[in-house]
Amino acid sequence: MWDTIIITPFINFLLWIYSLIGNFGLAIIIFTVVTRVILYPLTAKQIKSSQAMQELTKNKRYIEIQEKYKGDKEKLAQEQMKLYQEMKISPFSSCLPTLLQFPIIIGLYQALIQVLASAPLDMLKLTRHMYPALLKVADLLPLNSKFLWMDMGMPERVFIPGLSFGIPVLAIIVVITTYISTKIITPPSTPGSTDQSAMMTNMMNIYMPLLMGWMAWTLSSGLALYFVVQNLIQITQYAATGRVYWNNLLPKSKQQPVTKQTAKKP
Amino acid sequence: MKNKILPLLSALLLAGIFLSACTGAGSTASSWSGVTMAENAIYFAGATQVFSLRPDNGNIIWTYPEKGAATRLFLAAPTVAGDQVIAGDYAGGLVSLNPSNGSENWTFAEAKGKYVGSALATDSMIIVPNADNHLYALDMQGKLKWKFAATHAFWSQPVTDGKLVFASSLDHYLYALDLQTGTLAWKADLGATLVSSPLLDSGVLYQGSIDGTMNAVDAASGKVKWTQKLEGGIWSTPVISEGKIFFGDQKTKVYILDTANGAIDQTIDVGTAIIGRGVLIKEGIAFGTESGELVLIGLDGKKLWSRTIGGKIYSNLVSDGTLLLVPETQGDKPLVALDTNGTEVWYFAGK
Repeated sequence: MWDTIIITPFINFLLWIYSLIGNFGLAIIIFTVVTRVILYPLTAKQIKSSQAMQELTKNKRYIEIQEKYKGDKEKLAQEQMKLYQEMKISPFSSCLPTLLQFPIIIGLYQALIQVLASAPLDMLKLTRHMYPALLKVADLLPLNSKFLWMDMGMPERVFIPGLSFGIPVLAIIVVITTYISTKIITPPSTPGSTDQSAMMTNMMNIYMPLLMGWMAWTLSSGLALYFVVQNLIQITQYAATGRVYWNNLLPKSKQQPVTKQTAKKP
Repeated sequence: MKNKILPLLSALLLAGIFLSACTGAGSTASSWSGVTMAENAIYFAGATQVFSLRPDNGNIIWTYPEKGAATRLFLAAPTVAGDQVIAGDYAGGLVSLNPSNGSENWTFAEAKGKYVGSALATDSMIIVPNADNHLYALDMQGKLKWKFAATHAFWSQPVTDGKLVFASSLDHYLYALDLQTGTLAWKADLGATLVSSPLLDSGVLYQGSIDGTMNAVDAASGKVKWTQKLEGGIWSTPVISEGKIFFGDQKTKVYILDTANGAIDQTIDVGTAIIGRGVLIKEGIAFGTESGELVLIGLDGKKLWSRTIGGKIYSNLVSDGTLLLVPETQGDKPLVALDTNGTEVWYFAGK
């Protein structure tokens, strides 16, 4: 079921792009861009909802409720819910688009893996996924997995004469772009703040890039390329909303109070 | 705070594990195991280790390496080369082992890709296909004599007539090289990816491709004598008997073709894919199927019997005329030994 409705169409779409341009790296880039454009309505909704939630945390009544019911979690939840209703905010509307996107993203990821078949069983599965009316096995296989200096089916490393190890350039780019994409959407916290959600976000900002970097380092470079393109598109999409915190990327920005200048509004 | 961070980190870790699991990296499921029979031992590439087993009961004689690691998978059937056993792994390592105790004689580390196909041994040379697009020719001490670069991977064991070595590549070409020097004698574009070894018989090479075409190629000139387009992809080398070749396809059929002109003599529907090479035993040719059946097809094309083995059978079958070895993929019995009537003699469950 999962294969039929998600993986197989994705594989065929990716291979169809490849059959048109004959370059697997470019096919991954186009495939990622097109799928992100298709998913844009969901992404936009998620961005809008999470921005509304961020605004809410600065609301005077919200802060008062947090203080007043600090010791009574049940009451705090009730009051928060009341406030959400009054302000017409659904706390789940920012997670729902993410949840809907999640299976699609996993499907994209699995499709990429299967297309990069580098062993017999993988290739056998790949040939079975291909729609014979759309793609011809004889014309497409084997895929030319070379892109720039990389083999899309292998982990990427750049070897420099004199160094006994390879430098994982793409994995480093994945770490940087993931860090930027998470950092620029995080509102700067007030100095001296002990807000737990802000601390959680900071933790995420550190661990998420490391996790993505680790995957890019160990898995095939085709996936790392997919991560990079996805991050760049995400940064662009956030920037298009006009509410990004570029100052977060500067070392001193943490010390600055939240002002209208740091948060550019549309 | 601690209570919230732990679930967060756990979720990230789980996501990482889940995504890593999707790749099949380090998984034994990326290919199927190979097995080789020698006079006094069976050599089985059982994923993380190579096993030397007793032919009479399947007990372990030795294992190499002593402790297996998921980063070093042995799946290509080991090759007996005189008094050595040659085994290649998926991390690009090739090793010569002492057949009596499994100790290392030498290693060859120049290749950068997986050893998917088995090595070919002659009296004085070892020819090894690698997924790094190269065919390597070594002397019996593991020293490189020559190497040949194709434009894509070599996944199958080469064959030789004593003068030329014939190797098929994923790049659609069947290559003929001088055995001593590696010089290209000819190459034939067969139009689709070639994942199996050619069969060499009476100066003709029979080579299937994954678009479902069986080709007969003149070994001296590389000229295609005939082609026959069939339904499913061909993943294995044919078996020859009495002027006919027998092989299965990726759909559900076993084909019997006339070697003279490629005409279809018989088509037998077994209802499931046949990926591995069959083997000639006394009454006919045994094939393993994807649904886990062992099917015996008589030389006249009649289905004589079938036995349920269990897991999927993708590997080439091996027989010495009395014992039939069937490696399983994704089953409980990695290697099953049967007599030629299809009765199980023993099975090897791994270490």
